[in-house]
Amino acid sequence: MTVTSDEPVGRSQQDRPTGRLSAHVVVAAGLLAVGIALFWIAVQAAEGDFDPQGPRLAPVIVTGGWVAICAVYLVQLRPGRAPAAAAAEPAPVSDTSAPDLDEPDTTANTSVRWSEPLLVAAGLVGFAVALEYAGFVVSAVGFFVWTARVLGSRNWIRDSVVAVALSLVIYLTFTRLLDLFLPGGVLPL
Amino acid sequence: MNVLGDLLSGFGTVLSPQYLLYAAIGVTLGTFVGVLPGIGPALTIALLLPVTFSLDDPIGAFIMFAGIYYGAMYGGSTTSILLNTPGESASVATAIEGHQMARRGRAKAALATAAIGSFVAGTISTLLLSVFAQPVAKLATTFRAADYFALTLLAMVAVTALVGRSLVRGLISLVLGLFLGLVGIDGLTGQPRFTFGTMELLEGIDVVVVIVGLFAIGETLHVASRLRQLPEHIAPLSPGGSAGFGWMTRDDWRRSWRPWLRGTAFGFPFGALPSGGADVPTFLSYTYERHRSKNKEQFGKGAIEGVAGPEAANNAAFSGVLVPMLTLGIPTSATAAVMLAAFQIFNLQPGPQLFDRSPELVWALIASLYVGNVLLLALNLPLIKLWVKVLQIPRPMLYAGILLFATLGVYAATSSVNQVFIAYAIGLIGWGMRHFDFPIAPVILGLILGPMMELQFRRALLVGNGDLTIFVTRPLTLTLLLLTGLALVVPYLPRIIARIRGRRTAPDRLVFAEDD
Repeated sequence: MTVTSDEPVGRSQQDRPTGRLSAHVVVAAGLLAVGIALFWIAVQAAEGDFDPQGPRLAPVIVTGGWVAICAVYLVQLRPGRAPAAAAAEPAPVSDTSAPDLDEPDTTANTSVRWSEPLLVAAGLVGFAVALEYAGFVVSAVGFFVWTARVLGSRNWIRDSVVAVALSLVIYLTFTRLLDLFLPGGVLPL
Repeated sequence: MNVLGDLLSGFGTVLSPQYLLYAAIGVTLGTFVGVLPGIGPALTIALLLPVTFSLDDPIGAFIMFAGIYYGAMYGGSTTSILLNTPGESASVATAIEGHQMARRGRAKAALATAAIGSFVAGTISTLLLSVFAQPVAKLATTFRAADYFALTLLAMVAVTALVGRSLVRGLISLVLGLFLGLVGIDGLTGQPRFTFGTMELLEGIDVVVVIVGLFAIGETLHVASRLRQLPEHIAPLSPGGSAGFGWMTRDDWRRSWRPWLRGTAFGFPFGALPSGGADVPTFLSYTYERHRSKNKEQFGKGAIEGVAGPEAANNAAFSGVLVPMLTLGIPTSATAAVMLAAFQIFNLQPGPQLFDRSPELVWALIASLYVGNVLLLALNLPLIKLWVKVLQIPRPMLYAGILLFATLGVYAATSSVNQVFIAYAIGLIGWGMRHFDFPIAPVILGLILGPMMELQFRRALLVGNGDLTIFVTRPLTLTLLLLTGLALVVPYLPRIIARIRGRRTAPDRLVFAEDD
């Protein structure tokens, strides 16, 4: 699903169907597969009991609808019709009346990066795992500094000071003022 | 009981020092979080929910919520104007014209017309809410389960059809929400559904978890994937402020007051109808002002009418959304869905009975909307320098902080690390949805309205002894179901009309906005 860098630059996402179309097809096919699996689970759970008053009909209808709509979506994306399907979705309101002052605000480069979101996600997982062992303050400080660094900050002293202050204020506000529980962890707070 | 008496007693409650303090805290927190780029009112309320957990008094909590909501909206318009990053689709129109005004040195006039317009619209529409709420609640007591089923279906389908660029992708989002709503124990029979044998999923997936996941975590991952494409430049405040009263020249006032009133006229009824809250009326208001204005050539280059109208519509729509929310218990926007979740945390079920059971709360809430409006007007413009400072927080720290608060919000609300992981997983889905242009709002509505719809469907069948014709024999139910069918056709009307007229042009779907 990676978007290649040799795509036309300077167009909004909706205007360049070709590069993203294959990714859209992959997504649609994936959704369809998940839908079919869930539909099968729902039908199995029903054990032939499709009483409208019972609890088993709604899952079958919802997952069945999921399969049907994803199938329609996939058909809409099929190669022959693809440009029409993409063109049938007009640009958002903000694009139709694009201002012509100076250079546009949105930068032309619309390439997507994968490393930053994945590193941020890794930080989130680490934060959640550490939360109940190391305590809120320690894990929050680590997470904040890590995420700020991933997102482009190079001033780690400033980040650390802010992280410590923010975490302590949150911890003390929640536990002392609002009477909500946050894990204290390794710090003798 | 008359409305005036109820409302006055509501003011009597709100105007005590303690509740005024709650209102002030609410508007300040709301504005502070709302100003942060990319955070809309729904997420603001979801993130600030834990703050109210320790209040054992629901009236205080809801006064705070009203303040938070209004604050979030004012804050959002400030960000749209100065930074051109609308936190929600209802601010898109404001971002177009307001940011252009700011770039031409008229930031203060744009901020003023947005704030004063919101105040005017908020006051008028809250007045309308006070007048209409009780009669609608009375009417709602005659609704049966079959009607509620049809009504929830209409709300869901209409919002999905009207919001977003593609009906099919909107429906996929809706189905995802409906699926998430199914997870957990069935309310009527106690049977587990889609729990995959885990304990954690037995109690279902919390709305707060989904909203924080989709809006906060999904959005931040999306931002992280396109770091270098964000507008960083904040439009300067300083020039052009001194002329006239309240930062606006006589000419600005002359050009603003009619759009304010028209925006209110668009906002309230569309908010009250199941049309997805503020998206449709703000878009209609913007289009109307653009076509009608004598200064047509200024549109797209900073026309004050294009800020005044949509901002008023945005604010009026919120009071409109509260009509079905309070009287029927049916949320028609993501924000209303979070408000409903907040009600449920305090064991209150909005609906016709709410006016009988807790009139004090309802009227205090409505009175606090007036108070919140006044407080905001007093807070927003004089403190604008402070809000600009908030905008200047470096992005890496800002988004690290948002994720920190998102995790904290989920953990404080559920006291469970597993729920935090569920929120992260939903956040990953949300990132994919943002990336592939699926609207978010239908997920929230499906999650909230789906279980409601199923319950009413089965209840209706129970009353009717399993007879499915109950859904077509009641005129009200049938009408609502027919309207649902109509809602699916509306987006294609321009294309259909063009075809009838034998033209091949104008093939566009009618599109109002991006998702909430």
